[in-house]
Amino acid sequence: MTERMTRFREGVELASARYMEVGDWAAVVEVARGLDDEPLVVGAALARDLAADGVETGVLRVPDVDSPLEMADAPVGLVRGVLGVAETGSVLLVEPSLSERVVSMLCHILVQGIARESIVDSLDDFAAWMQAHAVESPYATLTTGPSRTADIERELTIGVQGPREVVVVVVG
Amino acid sequence: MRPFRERYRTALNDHNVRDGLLVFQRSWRETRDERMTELEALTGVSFETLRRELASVKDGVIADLDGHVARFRAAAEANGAVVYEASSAEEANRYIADLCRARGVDAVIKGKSMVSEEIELNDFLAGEGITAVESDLGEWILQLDRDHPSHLVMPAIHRRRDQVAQTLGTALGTHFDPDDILGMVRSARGGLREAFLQAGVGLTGANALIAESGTAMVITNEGNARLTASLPPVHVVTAGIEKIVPTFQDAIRQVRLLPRSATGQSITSYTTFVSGPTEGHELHIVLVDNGRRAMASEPQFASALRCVRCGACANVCPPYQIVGGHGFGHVYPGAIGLVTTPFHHGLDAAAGPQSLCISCGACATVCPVAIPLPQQILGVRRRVAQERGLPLWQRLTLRAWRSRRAVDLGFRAIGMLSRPLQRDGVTRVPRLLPWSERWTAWRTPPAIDATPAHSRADLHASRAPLAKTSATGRRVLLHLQCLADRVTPETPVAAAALLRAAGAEVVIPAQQHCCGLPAIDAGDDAAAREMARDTLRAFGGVDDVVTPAPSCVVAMLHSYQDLFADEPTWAERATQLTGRVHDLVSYLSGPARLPAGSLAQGDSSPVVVDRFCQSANFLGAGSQLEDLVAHLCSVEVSLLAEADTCCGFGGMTSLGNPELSAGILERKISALADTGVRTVITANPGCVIHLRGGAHASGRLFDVQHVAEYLAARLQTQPDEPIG
Repeated sequence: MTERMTRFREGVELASARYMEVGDWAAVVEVARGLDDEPLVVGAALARDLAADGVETGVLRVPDVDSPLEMADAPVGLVRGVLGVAETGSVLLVEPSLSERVVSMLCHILVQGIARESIVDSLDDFAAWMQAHAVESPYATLTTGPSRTADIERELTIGVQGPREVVVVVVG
Repeated sequence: MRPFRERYRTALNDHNVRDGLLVFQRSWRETRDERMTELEALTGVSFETLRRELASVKDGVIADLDGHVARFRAAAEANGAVVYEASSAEEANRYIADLCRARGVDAVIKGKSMVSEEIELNDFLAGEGITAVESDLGEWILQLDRDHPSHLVMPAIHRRRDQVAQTLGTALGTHFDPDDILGMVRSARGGLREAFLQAGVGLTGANALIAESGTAMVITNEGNARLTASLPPVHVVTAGIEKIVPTFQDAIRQVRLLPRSATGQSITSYTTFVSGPTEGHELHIVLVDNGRRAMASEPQFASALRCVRCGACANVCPPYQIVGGHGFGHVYPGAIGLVTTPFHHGLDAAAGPQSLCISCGACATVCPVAIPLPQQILGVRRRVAQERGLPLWQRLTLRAWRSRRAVDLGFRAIGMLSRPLQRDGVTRVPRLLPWSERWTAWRTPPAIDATPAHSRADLHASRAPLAKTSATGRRVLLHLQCLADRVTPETPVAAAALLRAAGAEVVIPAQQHCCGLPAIDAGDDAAAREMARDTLRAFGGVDDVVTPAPSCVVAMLHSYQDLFADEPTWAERATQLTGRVHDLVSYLSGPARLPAGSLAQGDSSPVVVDRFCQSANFLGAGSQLEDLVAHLCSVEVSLLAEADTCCGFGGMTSLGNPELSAGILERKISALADTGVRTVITANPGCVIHLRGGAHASGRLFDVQHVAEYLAARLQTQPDEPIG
């Protein structure tokens, strides 16, 4: 395992997320489907690409652009990261439309698939990427672990407004 | 907001605030330091350099706010955002209210935004019939109770779990076990969902505005800002104009320092970059001035605009620990709040909170953008003194203090009159004087010797050098320090003996007096300048100036420049003090360093060292004090826990706000008690008096000694033969 991957893994785990490595997207879907019996929630773009690649997904729920909140509080969502940052164990999600965003914001367990070759060393590399792609990525979030709060007597509590569990799956 | 005195009283009476904040400050310090060390290892660059780099990025923006606003605006508009520049709170509020009205919206949802607190947006919207609901859990809890944030990052830090259980239970129509925090948090998710669904507008702040791409960067842990920015059809970002940074690389510099400084995290859960509206939605960006351009135009205060709102300055602040952010601040809590309040909310709002600063300097050491907060707070204090005048007792004291003769007469009189009450080095104030309890119940006053140091023969007595040092033969002016001269005369006497033991020719001019520190601390410019000029005049014709009071060195090296900002000749003379003026500990550690074990003979009981806060925070003394004692004496030297933290003396602050001073002292006394060591060594006369009084009042048997006394006492017991 390269130093970059070791660091990435450490960062992911430090942020209270689970780390896994699989061979392809079919395996990512399998991981996500294994987490709950309810249908997997996937954004429209990813669902389309999975279908185009002939990945066996089973029944998927794809949030509707007009009523995205129907997906709120679904057990498991699957998203595709654009970039991984080894320095912090973060995964960059670019989600131009609300129907994609609800997957990462409102499912209880979030699986983030990220291609091995998309993992960069540092936040500087991330900044360079953003510099080149900000305009076509009007809504981009560097996510690092699950949603958390320490607002009540500073007691760390995982899972407040967003997912309470994050699984980062490195593909390839 | 309630008047300051009322907030101060409430905070003092609520021991949960100080207990909770004490635990918080200690754990924050630990995790923050760990994360910073990791960052230094990762980048190969020191915290000092990293923060200077970010500071210089921000300075570039502050120096050309208009240019950066224009650049950001052009980029954001090109992305499809609507940008509005508000010069005042009123304009910002009006724009947002009008926007809501135009869209037929009467419910908005908010992410955490300090600027919205600054402009009091919620109240304004309520007046227009628009309901704003806070979506950050802490802010929501406060809102349900009509309370306000007391910390920049952890708004509800002053609330206990049972209070929160009550609040949330009432709001959600259920009952919570106060220990079931997870249950409360998960229920809040459901409770806030309705507010998200009803809201027609989502309001967030921004941690940075990136000019090159017109991007708003928003950092959260909960993910509430993502929901706020996404679910309603209109997203409004409200941010101060100083939040602009030129590039993504600059934003990343901030990302590396902000979460580490704020919560001790290397990054938060969500760092969101909004560079344009979501399809079918609107994005508005309200850029708020509200006093910022005025601040940028003032050289002393411009750098306060570097602030990234991390709250680190509060997390190390001893007075903040005692009273929390409602007393120590106005809308913005912590040291930065004391500085920015006059510009956003007027000088009257700043007058009370600024009086709580004890000038320990801790805030500046952790600020991730290196804002000179202690000097700026004194600058605010100066303004308050100029415009509102000082309290009568302070005015009279400082008037008398300008005159060496008056101070001498006063102390001689006190010394003689209080003689019958003096015992064991303290003055026992009779219970007949109940009004004095506020000052004396927690800190027994010292016994004042009727003979000051400068009249004592042993101050001038020559002695053979112990060894040859680099100070041998140098003419060294001993600055006695006005307070030590009269209250702990044995300290300057001991300092003189040590300097002579190191071979220095000690010069003690009779006309020396106060360096001006009490007046600087009080914000009394005229008195401070007069005493500072006299001090500079007295310092001629010698090689070095040494004082047993590092607080005076800090005043001379770190305050004289501001004091003489309009008097270049005197400012120049003050500049020449650098390298010439030393506190005793650094002088004995440097030029006058005696060989190891020079004072090995004598009492071998263990000692505990409490560093002087200003030596640590302003002079960068580090481990100098304990190293010196260990180098010269063969005794077991341990360092007190939180040795760099102020003991609460704070000069006149302990007279003006004695309860605050008492609270801070308690933290120190309990740390000392935990060591089980009897002899306590520290390095500043004021702290010696303060700690002795506190130990006596609490019935502890510490033997608190100024390092000069401790070392000089051992001079007598050394073999006659010089060493080395």
